[in-house]
Amino acid sequence: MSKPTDLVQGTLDLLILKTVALEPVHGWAIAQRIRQMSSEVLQVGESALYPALHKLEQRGWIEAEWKLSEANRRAKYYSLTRAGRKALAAETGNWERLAGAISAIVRMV
Amino acid sequence: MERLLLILRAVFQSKRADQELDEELQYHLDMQVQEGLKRGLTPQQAQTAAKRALGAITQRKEEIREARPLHSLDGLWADIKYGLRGIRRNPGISTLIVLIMALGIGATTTVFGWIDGMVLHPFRGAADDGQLAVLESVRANGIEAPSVSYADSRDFQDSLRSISGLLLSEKGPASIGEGENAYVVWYENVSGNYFDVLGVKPILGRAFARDEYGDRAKSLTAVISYRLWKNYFHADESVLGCTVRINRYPVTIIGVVPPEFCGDFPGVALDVWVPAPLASDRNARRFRAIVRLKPGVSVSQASAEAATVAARLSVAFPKTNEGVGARIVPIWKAQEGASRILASPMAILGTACGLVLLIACANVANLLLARSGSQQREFGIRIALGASPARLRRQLFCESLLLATLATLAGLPLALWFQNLPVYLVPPTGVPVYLNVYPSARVFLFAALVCLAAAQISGLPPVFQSLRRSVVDALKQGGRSDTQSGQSRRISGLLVVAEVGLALAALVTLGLFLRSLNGLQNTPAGYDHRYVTVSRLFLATNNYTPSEERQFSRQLRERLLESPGVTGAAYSDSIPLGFGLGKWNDVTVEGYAARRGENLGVHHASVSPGYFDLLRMPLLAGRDFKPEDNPNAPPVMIVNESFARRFFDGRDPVGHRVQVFAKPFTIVGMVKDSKYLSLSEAPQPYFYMSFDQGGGGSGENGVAFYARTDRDAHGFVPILRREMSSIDPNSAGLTAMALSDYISAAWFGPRLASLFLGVLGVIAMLLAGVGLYGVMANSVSQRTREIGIRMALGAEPSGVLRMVIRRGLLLALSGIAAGLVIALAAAPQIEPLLYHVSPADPISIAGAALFLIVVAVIASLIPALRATRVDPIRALQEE
Repeated sequence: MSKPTDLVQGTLDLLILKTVALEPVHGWAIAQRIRQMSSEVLQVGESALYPALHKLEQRGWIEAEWKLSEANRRAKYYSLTRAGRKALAAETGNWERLAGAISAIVRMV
Repeated sequence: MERLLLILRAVFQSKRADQELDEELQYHLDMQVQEGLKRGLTPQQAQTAAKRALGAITQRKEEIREARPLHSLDGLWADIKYGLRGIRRNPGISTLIVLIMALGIGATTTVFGWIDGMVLHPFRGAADDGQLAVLESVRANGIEAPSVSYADSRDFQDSLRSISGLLLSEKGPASIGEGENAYVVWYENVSGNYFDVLGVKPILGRAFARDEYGDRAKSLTAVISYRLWKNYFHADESVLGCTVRINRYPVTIIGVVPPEFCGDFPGVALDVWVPAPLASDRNARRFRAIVRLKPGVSVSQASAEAATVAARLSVAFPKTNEGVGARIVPIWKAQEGASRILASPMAILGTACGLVLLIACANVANLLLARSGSQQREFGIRIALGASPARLRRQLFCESLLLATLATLAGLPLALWFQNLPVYLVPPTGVPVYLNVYPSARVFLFAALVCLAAAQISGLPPVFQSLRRSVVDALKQGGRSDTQSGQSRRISGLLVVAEVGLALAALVTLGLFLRSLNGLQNTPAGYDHRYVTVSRLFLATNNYTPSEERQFSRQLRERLLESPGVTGAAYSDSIPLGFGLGKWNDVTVEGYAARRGENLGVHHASVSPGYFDLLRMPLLAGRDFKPEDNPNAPPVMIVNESFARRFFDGRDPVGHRVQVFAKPFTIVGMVKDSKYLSLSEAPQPYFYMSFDQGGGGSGENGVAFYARTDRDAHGFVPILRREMSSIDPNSAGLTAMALSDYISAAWFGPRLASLFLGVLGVIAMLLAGVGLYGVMANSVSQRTREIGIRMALGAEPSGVLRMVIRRGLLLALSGIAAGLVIALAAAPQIEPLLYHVSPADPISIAGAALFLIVVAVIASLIPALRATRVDPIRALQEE
């Protein structure tokens, strides 16, 4: 029952929000996009992805809709809400500050 | 809005949400398979790979569900079903648990109901009684005299800014109607604002005008109780405006109060209220004063303000008010009334009930623990499958809450049924009794809270045991009654210690109270009350003048002495050891130099000749009263030993002179000390006056007629009534009872407490015994395998027994030590409630400890014996 650390958890939320912000996508596609966009560096496991998606949905940052997929099957498409857009901006800012701070330290040493 | 929809959906469509989740995951799986196929895997391989990848998510499903809002409601129904199933699976244990809890909850709720009704909220029918308090006069050390004068009360009413109203009342007996139809009731002279302050609205007619006062010269108005209206006036609505004779005064009835209102004097049912006459004498302190505090004002703030007003009055009116202070106290702390008598026995009962409830909880915890032993494996599996500990904890709590709820449902009717038990135990004192034994909403709320607390306390140990083990441990060994892990052994050992500790504290407390009540009942009162019948004649209700009253009493005594079967007769203005406060006055003893500000109040009674002889009170010096000690003769008094000790250094007081009522009395005799107001009082100075020279029998106590007869009180009444009507055919107002019954009023509180304590004691011993046996036996039988191994390795049965018993005794002794700490810590609270017993009473402590040790030894011996007799091979195979 080991849980991702808070840092990773928060980061995953950010990645999901960013992915969903472009266009409504379903869970599978989110995992694929994250992998592709990170050039295969970030692999999001299902067991982390779906709990995170549902948590974001309950928080009201993303909303879901059942639509037909490209494969002509019913799939759950997630899209960003207005609150989610604000959260994304805030999270992005947070991340950049954090990443900048960390890399500054890493480079210095 | 959307969020609300989500929440609603979560509540009503949790099943659909689950389906959707499954569909979503299925889609993911299918995509994964396609991806695998694209990469050139065989369909078989792609399926397996996808499933393996997704496999981990089933563990997280619960986490996803928990993310849903109101998720906790979601599983509640399932938990309840699960709990009910658990209860049905073990009907024996479940019934036992419910029974034990029902006893504890029932007893606690009963006593809470008593305290709530009789002590804290004695004025049923009064609005917002939490704001009512009692204003009392205070005098420095010595006799407490709480009554207030009419004139002083006006000043308090006008000056106190912390109160919104102040009412006065003075109760007494009254007869309604005349001759054959006479009906004796208790009435009150009250201030006009009485019903306003209490917030009582008549159901018929009107209450008094705010400034209404009684003028005996004109027709009086009266408000009557619902009870009287129903019983005497047959609920006739035309009673309003009717004139009836009350104590032979014509009185016009103007209103009827609601049935639940029985007056403002805890313990006494009042039936008639008439406006009190105006009185300007500040020394005439006859009234009981009740104030209504303004919202937000505390009793102590109001009391401080009352004290400053009293200080101002004592400066302004030094003659009447010097040394007289004032305080405001909650109703249950007031000097007069049943609340005060009941407060301390009820506090004892409450404590005892709390302890019994804790013991019951410990027992239930142990039973649940034994049961949850078999659930260990199940819990292990569920945790492994992703159930969160919080979820399991909730489930366990839900189970104990279900049991506690069942127990409350069983115990509450019992408690409600016991509510009016005190009414049956009230001794006959000739006063109509009213105790508020009607359960309020607070009682039900309390029962619910106790139910929650009991569930929480008894559910805690199983939760600890189930969840503090690691999953692997639980799977490996859970469900087997094998060698205990250190953890569960510690828990069961702790339970034994807790159980023994609580039981010791409870048993010692009960023992102390029972012993002190026993001591109280065996206290010599100082007179012989056997074969003595006492009657209270309320001659004031005949509207006699004092001299008519004296003459009537003298004639009645003479006639009684001539009656067959009567060997002695006497009368006085009071009866010792009743509910009342007793009469007292300041004395000035010639030759005794009083200190400045010394409280010289001494209790007294006025008695007829023959009183001391009839009650077998030895006359130590001088003479008894004679018929010649009448108003025309020089005033005389007889004092007791304590009087002589205080004022004459123990020298013979006969011949000395004492000023009372501004009259010089000569001491003509001295009697032995006896108990006057309560059995637990210390010896106090007391003096007697001749009935003909004293205050007489008017007032609420009437004239008490004593007769030593060869028959019981019941058989004596016809004789008394015959002799009374032969003197005055119109005389009314009479109650008769055995003196021993009457003085049992002094024991009412203690008796009620001791009766219930006895029952509680039996319950506590039973629960402690059974519980201790259960815990010990359980912990020993869990060692069956260990004992088997030891025996297989060649241990002697006697050695094994010694080992088991040593552990049992060690636990019992630690428990006893813990219990002693609790008992001694509570000693300062308990000590004032005890009579002639020290809180460290060796007999109570040794008795309780011995009982618990014996139970502990038996409880470890029996299962250990059984374990040693089991064939070692079988014991090992059983696992």
